[in-house]
Amino acid sequence: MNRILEANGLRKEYRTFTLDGVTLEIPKGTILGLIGPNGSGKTTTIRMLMKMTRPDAGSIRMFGLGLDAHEKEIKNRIGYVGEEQFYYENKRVSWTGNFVSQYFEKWDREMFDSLLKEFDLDSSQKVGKLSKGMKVKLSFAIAFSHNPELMILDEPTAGLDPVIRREILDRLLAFRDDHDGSVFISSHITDDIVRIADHVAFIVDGKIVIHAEKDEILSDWKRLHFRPGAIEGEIVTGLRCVEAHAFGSTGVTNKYRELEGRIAPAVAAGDVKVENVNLDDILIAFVKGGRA
Amino acid sequence: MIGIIKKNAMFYVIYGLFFLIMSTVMWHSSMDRLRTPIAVINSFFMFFSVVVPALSAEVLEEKHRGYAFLMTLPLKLETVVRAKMALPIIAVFVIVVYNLGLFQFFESTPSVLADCVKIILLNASGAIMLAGAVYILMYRYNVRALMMILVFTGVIFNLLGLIAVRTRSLVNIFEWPELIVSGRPAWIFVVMILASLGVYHLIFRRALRLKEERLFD
Repeated sequence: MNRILEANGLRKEYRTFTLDGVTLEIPKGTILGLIGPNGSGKTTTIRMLMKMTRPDAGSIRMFGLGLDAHEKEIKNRIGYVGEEQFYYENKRVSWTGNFVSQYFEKWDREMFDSLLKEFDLDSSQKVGKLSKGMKVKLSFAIAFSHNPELMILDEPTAGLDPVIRREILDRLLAFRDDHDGSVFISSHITDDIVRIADHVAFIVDGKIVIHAEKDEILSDWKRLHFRPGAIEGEIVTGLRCVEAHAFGSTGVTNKYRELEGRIAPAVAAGDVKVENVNLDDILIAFVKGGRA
Repeated sequence: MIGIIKKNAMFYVIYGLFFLIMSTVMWHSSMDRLRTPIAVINSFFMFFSVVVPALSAEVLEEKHRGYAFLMTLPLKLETVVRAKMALPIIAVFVIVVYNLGLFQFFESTPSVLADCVKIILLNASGAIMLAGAVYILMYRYNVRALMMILVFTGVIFNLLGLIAVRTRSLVNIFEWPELIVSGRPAWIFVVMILASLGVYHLIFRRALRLKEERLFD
């Protein structure tokens, strides 16, 4: 498998938080979504990939090249949209485009101009006058205009209206499908990840707790509603977020494919009901922990 | 690197033009090139032409979180810091060349002319070292605070200067250029320039490490 990005054992220790042993990989032509609660280490991870934060340990390779030794070459092949947009606010949009164009080897001026039009951005406007959403659009215009092979996006759709948010997501899908591009996207909005990601990684308290194909995750994770005594032993002890109620109990399993055969009789008898969960439910299961 | 130089060069051009014009006026109106305040004032002009633009550019860079923006581009921090720290050297070079031209134009006595050249080389060495110190301080401490200190220092020096002139106690201070340069061979001052450039390079490495620590840790 041709891996576009490989991060191994990334570690960063702060006074109140430690990112510990983060290992990620993105195969070429796929989208990896990174999901985690606030302060879980998403932005720190992305900053390390952009060489904006120095890891205490671990290594990063992109396009088969080490980030430390090939920073310039690698960044030339990355489109980046950060959580916050930093620009020279006293400069105009056109100046910003001209300025960044000097540094990207494959800058496409026509594409930049056409994206500005598409995103309804006035090139003569000062960047400081743009709203937060407009600045995000400017970042996307820059990111797409230098023909990247990998997009690294940190909460990119926050602050965007639903129309442009959908448009951006469709563009990312087209980037993957038409250009064989790869995307690494972190988002609070799990709907975005469900819509576009091929692989999903969950990060909780600075550790990657799941990193697998999205469909595999959604097949493994199910919510079970069961009558008392319908399932027992390690099946019940392995459940997360177990809650008892008047008609029985509810819990979330992450091993549904293993359990499917064993609980089939109980399901057939109507003593167990299986329900799909979404990525939010999985994240909550990790954050709340709560194994029975 | 050129883009960053061009972006920051405007500060040096604005301040540099102001100080070059002032310098020209003062040299033109001076009767005694060495034993008048002109040689001293000229050195202050050179220092300010280097320090004020560097600080102004950095204040703006911090205001706009410019480093965070630049680090998203295919640029190494080393390139950014190198570009920024190249500008004071370019400014000093331009000022030295300009002043050498002024001396040739305004001064006809060979011995005075030679001492004027030595003074400007001495001033240039000082300006280079000062620029290095400013970058170290900027990258270690708060730039705005440093700017305020500079303004405050400027006001204090002006007041002290005013008092000194009023009380006629400053006259001897204006003799320092002559005391330092007269009778000394010119090569010493050329070596000083080269040495200050060498030290400036070491300061650049240190400044880069400081900036890396502030940005990346």
